[in-house]
Amino acid sequence: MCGRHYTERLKRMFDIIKLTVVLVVVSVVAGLAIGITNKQTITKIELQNKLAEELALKIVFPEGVTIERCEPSGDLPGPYWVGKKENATIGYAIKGIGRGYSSDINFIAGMEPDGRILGLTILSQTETPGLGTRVQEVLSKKYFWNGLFSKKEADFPWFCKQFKGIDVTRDIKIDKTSEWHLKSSEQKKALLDENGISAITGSTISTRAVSSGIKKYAYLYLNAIKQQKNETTQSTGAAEATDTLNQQVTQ
Amino acid sequence: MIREELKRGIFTENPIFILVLGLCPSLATSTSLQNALGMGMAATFVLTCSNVIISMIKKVIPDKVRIPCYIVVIATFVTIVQLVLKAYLPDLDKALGIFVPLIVVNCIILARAEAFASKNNISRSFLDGIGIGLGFTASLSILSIIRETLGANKLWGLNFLPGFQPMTIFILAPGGFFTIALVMGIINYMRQKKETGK
Repeated sequence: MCGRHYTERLKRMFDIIKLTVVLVVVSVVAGLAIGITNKQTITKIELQNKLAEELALKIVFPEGVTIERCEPSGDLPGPYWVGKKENATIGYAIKGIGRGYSSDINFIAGMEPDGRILGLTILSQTETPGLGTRVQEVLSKKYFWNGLFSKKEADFPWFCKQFKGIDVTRDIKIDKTSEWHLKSSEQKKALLDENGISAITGSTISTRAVSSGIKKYAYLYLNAIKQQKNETTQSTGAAEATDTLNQQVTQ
Repeated sequence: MIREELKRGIFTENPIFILVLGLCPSLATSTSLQNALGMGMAATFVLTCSNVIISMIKKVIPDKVRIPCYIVVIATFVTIVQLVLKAYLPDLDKALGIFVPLIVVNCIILARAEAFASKNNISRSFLDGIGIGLGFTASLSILSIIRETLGANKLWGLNFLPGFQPMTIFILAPGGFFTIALVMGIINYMRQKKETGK
């Protein structure tokens, strides 16, 4: 009796060890496979992201602007870009994240120093297909019978287009009556006047994610840039003061 | 054998209308024909690969831990596909990228691993993956054509009928349920008629 009991216990223990070993082996092999692919692809993915970023920067600034990259200082989460035309700063581009319905919506927004948006483009998102993904929807004017085999018209997502001219230092209203591309030009103007954007039908969360993300990051960056500017003007002012003092002394 | 397997996946064991599997991603991706084809193709690829691998390792996996093992295999595959797409095919990634994470939670893939690949040999599992995948793609396309034309007055992202006021509810989740119920009802009616006719 005792012996049988003992072998049964041993067998059960062996079973448990076998299950554990199999699970460990499967997980380790899977982990290795992912690790190796990650290592093989990471430089390529970074390159692709950089290319996408460059393309996005061209979209958010008006044409003929030279773009300079600035490294982050202080508690800024990432670099920002300065757009210059004939040595005058016309705006900044910042990269930000909005917490959407099912993903982070990564965007690049260009804005004037006083907070008016010059352009917005969405880099990546994995929102609900057919609803939240429409933040990147490009509309077509063609009917499907004459457009199915012709080339796609180059256009820009309407959702991003409506952000142009929005003031990020004020509250951004979200209008749910109709989508922007269905509005008449007077309605669009009225909406812009009250600093509003129109929501995507059925995905107010994604809409709000983009608008509040822009507000949040714009506040962060514009403040930091302003502060930096103040510091530099102060320090140059101080330098000038000492210069004049020195001159007086030499005189 | 090939014809039988494909016919089984597309008609007699159609994943959406007969097995009623994967309704969550179906609701989400049948809002437009482009999305439906994208999701269908991505799912077919992962389903075929995971079926083959699970059929290969079915003998080493103890019965008690088979589900966690399948999940690990599927999730690994999906992650690898995602990374490779991002690195080498950025345009395809832009089109399919949003569907790839949805595949992990697509119960069709786990169901086929459990019900078919773990019991059959590699070549049959491969064909099953392709058949079920095509069935999934075809069903999604049917749903999406109905939903996109009625709900957004569009087809393949292009306008459908001039002057037609779209019913937005068909793009939203309730409309998805209506459409699935409608198509399923028609199919069941036809099946019943055929059976009683015989």
